[in-house]
Amino acid sequence: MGHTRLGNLPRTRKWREVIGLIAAGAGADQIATAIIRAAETGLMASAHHPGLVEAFWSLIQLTQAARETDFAAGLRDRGFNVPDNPSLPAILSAVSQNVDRAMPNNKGRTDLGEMAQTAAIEVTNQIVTQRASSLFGATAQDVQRAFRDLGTEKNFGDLGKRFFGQLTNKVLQFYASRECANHVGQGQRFANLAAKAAFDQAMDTHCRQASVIVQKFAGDWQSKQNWTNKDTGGITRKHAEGFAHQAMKKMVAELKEGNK
Amino acid sequence: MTPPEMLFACNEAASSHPGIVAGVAKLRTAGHGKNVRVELNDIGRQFHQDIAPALVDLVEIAAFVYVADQMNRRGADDVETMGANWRRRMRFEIPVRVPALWKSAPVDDALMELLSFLSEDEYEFTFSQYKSPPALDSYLSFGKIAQQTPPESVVLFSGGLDSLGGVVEEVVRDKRAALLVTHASAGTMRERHHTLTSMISNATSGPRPHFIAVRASKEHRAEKEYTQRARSFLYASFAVAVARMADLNAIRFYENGVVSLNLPMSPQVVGSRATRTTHPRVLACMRKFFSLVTNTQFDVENRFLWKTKADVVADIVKAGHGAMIDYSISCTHTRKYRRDKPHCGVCSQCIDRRFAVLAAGAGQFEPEDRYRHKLLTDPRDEGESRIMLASYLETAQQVAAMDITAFYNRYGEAVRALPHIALPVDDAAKRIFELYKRHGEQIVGAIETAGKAHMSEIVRRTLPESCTLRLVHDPNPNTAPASAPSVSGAIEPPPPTHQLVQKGQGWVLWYESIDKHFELSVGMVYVHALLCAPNKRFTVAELYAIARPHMKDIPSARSEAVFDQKAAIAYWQRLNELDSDIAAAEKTQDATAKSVAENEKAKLLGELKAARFGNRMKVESADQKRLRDRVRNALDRTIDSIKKWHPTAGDHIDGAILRGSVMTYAPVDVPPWDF
Repeated sequence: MGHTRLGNLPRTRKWREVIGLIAAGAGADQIATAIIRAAETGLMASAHHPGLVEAFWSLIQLTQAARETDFAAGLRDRGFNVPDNPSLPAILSAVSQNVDRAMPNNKGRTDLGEMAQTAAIEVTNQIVTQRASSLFGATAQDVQRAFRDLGTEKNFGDLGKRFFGQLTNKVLQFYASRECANHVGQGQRFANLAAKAAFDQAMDTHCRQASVIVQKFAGDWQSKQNWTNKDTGGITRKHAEGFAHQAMKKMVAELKEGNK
Repeated sequence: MTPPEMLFACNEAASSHPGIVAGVAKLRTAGHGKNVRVELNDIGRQFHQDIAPALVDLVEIAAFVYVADQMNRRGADDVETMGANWRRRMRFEIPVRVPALWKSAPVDDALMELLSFLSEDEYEFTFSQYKSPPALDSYLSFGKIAQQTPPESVVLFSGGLDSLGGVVEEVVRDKRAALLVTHASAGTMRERHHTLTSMISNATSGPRPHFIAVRASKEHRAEKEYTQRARSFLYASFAVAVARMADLNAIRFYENGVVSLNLPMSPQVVGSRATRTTHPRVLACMRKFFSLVTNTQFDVENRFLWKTKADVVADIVKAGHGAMIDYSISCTHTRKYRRDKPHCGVCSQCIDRRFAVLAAGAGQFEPEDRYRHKLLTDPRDEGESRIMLASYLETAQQVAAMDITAFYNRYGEAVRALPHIALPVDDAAKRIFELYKRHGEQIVGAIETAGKAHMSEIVRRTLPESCTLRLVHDPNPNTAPASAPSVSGAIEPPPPTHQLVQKGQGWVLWYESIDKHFELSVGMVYVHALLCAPNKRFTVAELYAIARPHMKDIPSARSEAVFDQKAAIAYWQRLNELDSDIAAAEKTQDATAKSVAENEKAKLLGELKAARFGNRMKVESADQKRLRDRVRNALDRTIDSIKKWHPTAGDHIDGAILRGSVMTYAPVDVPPWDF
């Protein structure tokens, strides 16, 4: 029991180039570009799938529930299974359950959706713990305040940036991790695991930098949607789906462009 | 993208699909065409009471799901579709004895919820009424000795370290009368398993445990998929049937919490690529499902959720039964089992097991040579073996250094377990972190201890480069990670502005202070040779020889260059362009532009004169043509690659290298290359 399945990159020409660049010592930006060029078709085909949409939709829902007087009730109205005065772990857990519920019997589940689900949890944790001292230092009011703050145009842009940056890093590492460990050792690309960890960090930084492209787009989008749909109940899941797809397109285009 | 679908028509339902039908597999546990073996061996006769028909249905359903799981291949490496082929669609047509139960929405929902999380596949079940169901007896064999003491618990005993730890606790320490449901092992493994069961029986001063060996398998070894994500459903279902025979309402797993939660050890491990065998959510789903099927409050628990594997090993040793460790088997590669070396040392279970033994200070109970690959000092092949080890170590090292916020910033997957743990959510979150942190520290501690023991070999670099200790410790100061910021205070030389240099296993091209890396290629050797000698004329044979300094039988480097159609067009086209530029410059009275164009024209005409081409085309042989094409194609491919990654450099190099049977790098202005 406890088996873990690992795999390698395909040996097609475009993936061989990725492997060659890793061996050659290319920087995180160049490898990111090579990966995204190789993976673009499959990635964009998955960008409409429910896992990604539900994950991003859940983040929007958190910001909306936070504007209500009774935060817990607002969350429950939106399908989150939380107790009164929910702690941060309780909210994280509810977000995860919500996304899972959207794909009963695994219908529509993809790797991208799975990555989006965990990215939503991680980003939520990052944002709230940044405002409170730690995971357990946050009261229900702290959590509500943190999400209410994210409702502004500027902060929603930051939320979008963080989410798509985290997701993109996961996607790139999903591929890179199939090869990088083959290049650890004396005389190899990475002298030891510490050097490989530094590369992973560089990839994360690159993704965060690339996700700036989503920041303004997300802020403008949220502001426009709230204004346009103010009489029809605000942002809907359909709107979120359209945004998620566009944001992924922007991230892919940005990474494809690379650091020229 | 819709995953591929497969229909499994089981027992009587198979008759409704006569002949061979694509996408349909027929599974039969009894009667004509039987191809699935279901066995519950050594059942004590006193347990064979009026077993509920629903439980016999459960045993059959579990066997069908388990066999189907192995017959239907996953596209594990199909990374480009984002796992569309990892997740399968499986439809089952199964006759049952109690259709009202199985068709009821709560049971159907609970079954689907359990299986879809466990294996990450999409399931659909169609249940029908059996006309003539197989008798339960056809699956049972009765042991000679029945247990005298009424059993108090049913434990799943795989024969691995964790379940051994559980049995030591349950049977030896607590002296409980236990039914141990184990898999029927085959061949040479049976001997080791038998020794272990005898040791357990002899070690207890309480009631001797009763072992019930179960098995479900497809005959004729038709397994295509070895991941077996539905495995725990099979054993749990069989254990539930055994528990109900003994009038018990609970079964127990013993699996350490790190494996139970099984957070991804590598970013490529998404979803059920890490097993969810005893994940708290799986156990919660099992509780719900088995309660509905048995019509009782049925409990399924994992008593080692808050222990690491090293904790389990330490407890076995503390209980005075360290000698049993050597007889437990954790390896997944059972088909490669060898009596003297039962563990492969490569799979995740073997790595985890060996580290746990070392971390618990129990190395004396398990010689290192029990592993076909020694954990610390043997080289690791490229591919899964090295990636597995590196990922395991990296994860442990990183988690050991994390605080709780960093942990949940990285492992969002962990929160999936929170609502299914019988603790307040905050406490559960804290304990998961503490468990993982302790595990990380235990692994780091084991490496530190091993590092001290092997320090001399590490310093002298006599260990293989890809072994664990070198991967972790290798202090090679010359191999700084790419893109990693400099941490030393030393003043570094400024980066070059224009340079092409081979570095490690690739090339680095600097152009206008921007660097890009390229994989090793013969085309880049040609580019390098040309850039190093601006305006020098290379025949293709010369370039070919430069790239192959150690090869014999290279066509003569002095073979005469051929002035072919392509070269002629390239020269004349450029000369015409230059004439136009000169005319335009005269018109606009731009003396500088005129001078630049005239200089280049003079240079080109000089080259033509030096080559003594005149106006005659020189015919090349087939060999020469082949050679020229090879060199030119390699050069073209490399220049295309440079244009893709470094467009400015690519445009310059593409425009400045004349490619014919004679190759020249002849830019108007030579950039300040630094070779």
